[in-house]
Amino acid sequence: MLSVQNVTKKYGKVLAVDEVSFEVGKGEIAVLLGPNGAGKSTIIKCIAGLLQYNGKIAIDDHINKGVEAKKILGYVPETASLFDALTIQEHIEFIAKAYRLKGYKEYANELFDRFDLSDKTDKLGKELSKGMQQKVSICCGVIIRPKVILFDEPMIGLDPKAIKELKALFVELKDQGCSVLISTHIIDTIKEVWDKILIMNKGKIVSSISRDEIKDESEIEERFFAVTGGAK
Amino acid sequence: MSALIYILSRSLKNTIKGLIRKPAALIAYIIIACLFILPSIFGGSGHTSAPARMSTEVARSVFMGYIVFLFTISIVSSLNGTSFFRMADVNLLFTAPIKAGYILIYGFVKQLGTNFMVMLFLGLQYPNWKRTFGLNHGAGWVLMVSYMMLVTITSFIGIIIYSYVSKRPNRLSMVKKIIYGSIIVFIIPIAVNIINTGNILDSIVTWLSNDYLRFVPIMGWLREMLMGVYTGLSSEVIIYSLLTLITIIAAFVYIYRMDTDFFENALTGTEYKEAVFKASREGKTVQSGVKRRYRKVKANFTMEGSLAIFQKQILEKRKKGFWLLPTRTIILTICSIIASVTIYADGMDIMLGILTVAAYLMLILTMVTAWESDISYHYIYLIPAMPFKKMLAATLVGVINMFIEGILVIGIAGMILKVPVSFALSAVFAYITLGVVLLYSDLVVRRMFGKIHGAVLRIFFRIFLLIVIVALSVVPAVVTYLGTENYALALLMPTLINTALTLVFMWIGTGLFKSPELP
Repeated sequence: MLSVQNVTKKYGKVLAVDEVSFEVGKGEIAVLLGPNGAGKSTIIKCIAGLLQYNGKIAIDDHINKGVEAKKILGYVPETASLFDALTIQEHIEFIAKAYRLKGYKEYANELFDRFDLSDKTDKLGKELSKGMQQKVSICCGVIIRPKVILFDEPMIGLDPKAIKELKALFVELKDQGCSVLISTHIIDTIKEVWDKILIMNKGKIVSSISRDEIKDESEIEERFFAVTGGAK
Repeated sequence: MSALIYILSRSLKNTIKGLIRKPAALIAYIIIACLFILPSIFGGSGHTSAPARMSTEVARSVFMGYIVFLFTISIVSSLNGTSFFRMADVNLLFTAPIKAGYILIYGFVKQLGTNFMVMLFLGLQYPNWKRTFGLNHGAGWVLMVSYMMLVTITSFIGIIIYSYVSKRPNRLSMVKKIIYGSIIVFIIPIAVNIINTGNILDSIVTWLSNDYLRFVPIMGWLREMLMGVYTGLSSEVIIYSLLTLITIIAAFVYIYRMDTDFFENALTGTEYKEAVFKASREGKTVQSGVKRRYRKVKANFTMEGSLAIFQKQILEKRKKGFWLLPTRTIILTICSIIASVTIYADGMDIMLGILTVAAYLMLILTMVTAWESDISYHYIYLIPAMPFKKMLAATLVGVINMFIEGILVIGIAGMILKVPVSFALSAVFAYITLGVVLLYSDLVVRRMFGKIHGAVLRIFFRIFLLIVIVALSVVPAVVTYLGTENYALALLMPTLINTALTLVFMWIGTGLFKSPELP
């Protein structure tokens, strides 16, 4: 379970995240939705322990920057960054050793199959297209079998089949009891999979919607524009 | 034109504003500027502050060697395309209704600004060189003007050559053949001299200081200009400066008249430059980030936790080449062996000389270390291990490299010179610990100033650090030597000081591995 309490993040004088609090329960998919510059990526990076902030963030009751939290936290950044000189297979091997994973190979092969990477595992990071890099980045985030996983704009650069697989993966992670947090600014990409939507604007969570609250998915768009001030 | 002036002035203003937001970097730059300006103002008048320790022939050959090296490297690299511009210039200015000539001038002004910091560094080194080599008053300005002329003319020639080469595919190999052929022709006299005399150093100096080389356009002229650091502003220096200036103007006019033709060349060059910048920002070497080929090496991850970072670095280095021997180590080892074989003096004195020169070169020839690249990836922060362990694992390859370098550069010299084992070992450890302290000082620089200001401030910080080490260890070392007359014991002092500093820097540097955001 992910718990974010009163998190504030400033870049110099700019308030990027303002007293944000929310929780993502076990087996729940939460989506951070918001316009560009709303603070979605910033809060995701705070949770991943990549930024300094004021407030409290807990991953399964462990402080997010501690070793115990890191063991169970997966993160897929908005821009895939792979090591130039390592192959796809070696990326997975590296992560597996760094996280002291056991029996990961079968799962790795399964992920390679799903994302059409099986015949490219000997390709170097620098030889891959952006979309391919994103797929590897997803595999690196998921391979640790996290209890909490963060996806920052995960669909960007992916082909339709990969998007379909990724959506299925979200649901599988949820079924395994993983807390999934997805950040996006494209509403259509998360239809069907979400349990909770947190709409962010100007560093704040301005609205929280649960699936029970709405009847039709088109309502999300209406609610989004209503609270972010954008014209439909 | 007003749009271009606007970009230049706003960029300058914003850079200064950015510096003000980073007071530590600003203070460091002010100190650098003071160190540069004050010695020039208060450095005394007319006379040399110390007798020249380097003969005119040696100085002339050093200058010639440096110019030929820089010129060749610059021209060869320009074959990939050369440019004064960034991608934003290409996208926004090249498409704007602005005269191509103005855009070229704008690019040239920007280029001058980029080289200004290197020029400042030369100025900072000037008081040292003045003391050591007995340079003439005003030599700092001669060095800086010559440097600016050298980089300007090489840039212009690079553009012209690239514009010629890019027009037909077969021209590239032809130009390459001409360049490499010229290099061979240039070094033939040295080879002949070596065969005749058997003395490598003398043969190099004799050829590179040859009087006729002054007639070689640009390179010979620049050498004579640089000799102004000894001779002062003589008529020869003025004539060769004017010749170089005329060549620069002629090259500029030629490029100016190319009109928009240089856009295409600049586009290729800019793309390459952007790739180089990207690689540099990520702490990679230019080659590794752009056109490097990797060997096929079988991965064998056996270490777990933070040590997986170490094993990953070794794997990457094995793919890039022989990981134990970085280029710097090879260069320094060769120089050390040549010095040990060719210099006729007391073995202990030669060893101390090699140790001093190698330590000085270590400041300038920065080794690209893998940790710098690693901290640009998120993985290192997410790995479930203590930051201190991650820091140790990420820097371990650098420490191992330093051990190997110490043994090769100093140890082999010790064996050739047959100095006592205890002295050789002390010298090796003094060198290794200096390398290690510099390695960890880079972590501190990165933590204090961030990666944007890292390159310039790193060298400044290293010089400052060396002054501290020298100040802290020279007195105890001298006292120890006077008390015991034992060089080996005396050299233990810097080893101890370096070790203590390393521990402090490790402690400070660990913060880098906690979060990518500087605290």
